[in-house]
Amino acid sequence: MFRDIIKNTQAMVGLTILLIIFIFALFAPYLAQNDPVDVNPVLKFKEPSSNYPLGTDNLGRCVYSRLIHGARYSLFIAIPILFSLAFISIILGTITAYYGGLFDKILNVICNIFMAFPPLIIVLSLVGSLGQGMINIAVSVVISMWVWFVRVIRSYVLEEKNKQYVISARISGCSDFRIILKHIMPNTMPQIIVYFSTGISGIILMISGFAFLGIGIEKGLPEWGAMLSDGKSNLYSNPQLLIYPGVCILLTAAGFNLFGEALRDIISKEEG
Amino acid sequence: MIFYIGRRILGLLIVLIGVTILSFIFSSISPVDPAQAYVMKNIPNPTQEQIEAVREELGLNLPIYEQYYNWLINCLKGDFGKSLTTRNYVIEDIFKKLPATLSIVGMAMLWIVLITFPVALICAVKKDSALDHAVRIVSIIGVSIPSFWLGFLLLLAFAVFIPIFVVVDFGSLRSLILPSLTIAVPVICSLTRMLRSTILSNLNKDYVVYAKARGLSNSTIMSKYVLRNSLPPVITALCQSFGYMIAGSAIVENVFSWPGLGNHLIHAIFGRDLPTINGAVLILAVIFVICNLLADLVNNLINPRISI
Amino acid sequence: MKNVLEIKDLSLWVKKTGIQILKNISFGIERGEVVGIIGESGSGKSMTCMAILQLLNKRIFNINGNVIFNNSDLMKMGKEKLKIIGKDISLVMQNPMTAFNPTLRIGTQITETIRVHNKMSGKQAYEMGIEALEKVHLNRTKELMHSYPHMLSGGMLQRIMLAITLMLEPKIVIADEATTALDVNTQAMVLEHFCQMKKNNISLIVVTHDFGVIAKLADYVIVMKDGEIVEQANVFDIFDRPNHEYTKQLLDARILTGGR
Repeated sequence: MFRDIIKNTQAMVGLTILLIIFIFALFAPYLAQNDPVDVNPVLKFKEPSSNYPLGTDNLGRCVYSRLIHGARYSLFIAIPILFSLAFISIILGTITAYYGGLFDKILNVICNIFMAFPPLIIVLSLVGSLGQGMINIAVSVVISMWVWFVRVIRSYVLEEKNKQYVISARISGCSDFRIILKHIMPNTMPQIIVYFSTGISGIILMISGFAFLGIGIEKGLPEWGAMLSDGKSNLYSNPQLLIYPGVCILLTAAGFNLFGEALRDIISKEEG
Repeated sequence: MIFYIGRRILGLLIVLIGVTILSFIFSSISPVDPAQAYVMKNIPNPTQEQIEAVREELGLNLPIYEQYYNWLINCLKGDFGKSLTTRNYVIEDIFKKLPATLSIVGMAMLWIVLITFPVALICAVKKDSALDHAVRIVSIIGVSIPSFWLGFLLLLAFAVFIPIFVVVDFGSLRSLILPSLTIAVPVICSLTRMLRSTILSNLNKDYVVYAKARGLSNSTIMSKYVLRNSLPPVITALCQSFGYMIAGSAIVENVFSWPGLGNHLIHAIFGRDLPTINGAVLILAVIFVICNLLADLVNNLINPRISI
Repeated sequence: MKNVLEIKDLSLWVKKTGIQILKNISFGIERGEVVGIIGESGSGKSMTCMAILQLLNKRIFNINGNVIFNNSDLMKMGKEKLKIIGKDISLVMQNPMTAFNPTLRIGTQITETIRVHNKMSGKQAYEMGIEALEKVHLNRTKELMHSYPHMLSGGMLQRIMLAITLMLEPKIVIADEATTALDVNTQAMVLEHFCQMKKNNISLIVVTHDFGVIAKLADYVIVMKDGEIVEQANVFDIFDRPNHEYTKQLLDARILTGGR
């Protein structure tokens, strides 16, 4: 599996992009030479220079430093969301798929109800009542997406559970806990990673979309979506202010998608 | 078939009741006291008595289940109350804004159908060709692109550098092209990939081999055998994306300053206009549920196995 | 006697990997003759059938050789080969449950096949379909025509497949493991139909790994292994005096598993 990933160009391109963005996010204060929120109206719309590698924006802030810091927001909001979703969905999905029964049926009805709302609408509605703020956004995204994740994980586990080897493990007296941990989990993991990998790119796009609308992220923070929103009034005079953050969002989302899709291909080839 | 529809409608009712409960919960977990918020809109510094009076008037002093019941009855009558910002009836505002959104989404659906099917078909038939690889790369980029950014890029490209499409002139068919394309691109990309892979898996099915062995023409096999059997998952996704696009129109309408439902909802959120938010959310959810039901019914007509 | 179908030096490679699947397959079949192809799974039996019927994707496979029917080479034909495949050379598939389009009614699938090969109205084709179903002893034919494949049993679907084959009055029938997936009763029924076809002077290519089927039907036997013909001979010679080591092994295995 590892060797397949290393040999796959697409997966490696995706991983490289992700690695670079992670480095940006982790070492942002060292890589950025200026304070990303430092407003300096005298310096607005400056051409790129050694001090400001990508020039400045409408408030004289260093675009380069803001972009580097933006990686933190995208990743550090999306990753906790993904981990919460992963935690909820793996536990609920596995248990309901493995044991079935009444709990499964009740969860199914709940899923149907939640799935009647497009996720975006749940978030908008929750933010409407909970109010702005990064935590509120993160909580709303988890509430809006958890059922979709549970459904998918549940279907993976269900498929695996009905395979011959699990049935024979059961007949030979393996405990449920052991079957789930030693047989079902390792065998569904690749598919789950694929789903999470493409899922996180969706979350990143969603968060940046909200930031763009001015929902969740405070104005002036160097989040990519918010930067795009700041730049939109200067669309025609300074299009680069829109293009840079957009490219950053695109690359981050594409990094996860490229890796996820490549992994999917590798898995499906292994299965025949 | 009738039994199936009946069961489906019963399930639908349960879902709809759940949807109203959930909408109600979403709207009532607000940390802000709605009575206070309502009064503050009119009187800058209300006294406690004024707030209590409004609370009673709005029925907010009743127990939560009675509040829900009253709210539900009003919803069934189509009465979501009056907007706190525009002071019109919420339902009137929504129906005034809905056509603008539907026209974008409708046009987007047209793009999706016109582009997805031929492209996916060609890619599947010419698997691993240069075209197939190109489409693969483009569609991965397409699902990774933030739709608002795409909107701006299109604006820049077409409205500024190549001024073919009038963007500001709201209502004309030409002004619809850019927003609808913006909203359609991610859907086209994900559906194309999905349809391509279902077509590919169907191309190797026994019944296709047997159809070829019976001497049926290529076009018959492609349309009645391969495509027909590839449709159900795509139709489900298509109907779902209709709901998604109406919801996602909020972002695109913002980019193109399009006076639709999405924009209206965003304004309501900024204005903390709870009646409007609730009304819009409930109506969007109902649209989404109906879309899913339609998808199931169409699939049932295409593939009779599903009903079992 | 002249052969109805002649396969000459048929070779097949997978384009991507360069792996050779068939190596210089050559044999002929006479009118009314039954040729049995036997071999373990993966020996290239089914691939041979697919290549004869021109069902292989030329984007995936490199195919060499000639398949001569009525003095013309199917391999070199364009669209006009569709008039022969299905009409003169007919296929009976292994698994009837998956051989029909699940989203079309049986009647549609029968009548569209008729109408590809014969100029007639939908109503005439329908009548002809009903008649064909009656010939394979199916009852309630109108109901059958109106059913979807998933509503019918494997045995019924196999009979329908035979009905389609018989209805087109082919010169050659290729049966690819046509009895393998069936229960014993239906197997017997299918074999009975094959015997009937043989009597009507239809040539048969029967692919199987069951020597019982070979013994009952075949006049001539081809033994395949790893994409090659290792031995081909008259059915009596194969059973009495197998030359090749592999043929002997197959015959021995049949005795071990209690075959006929």
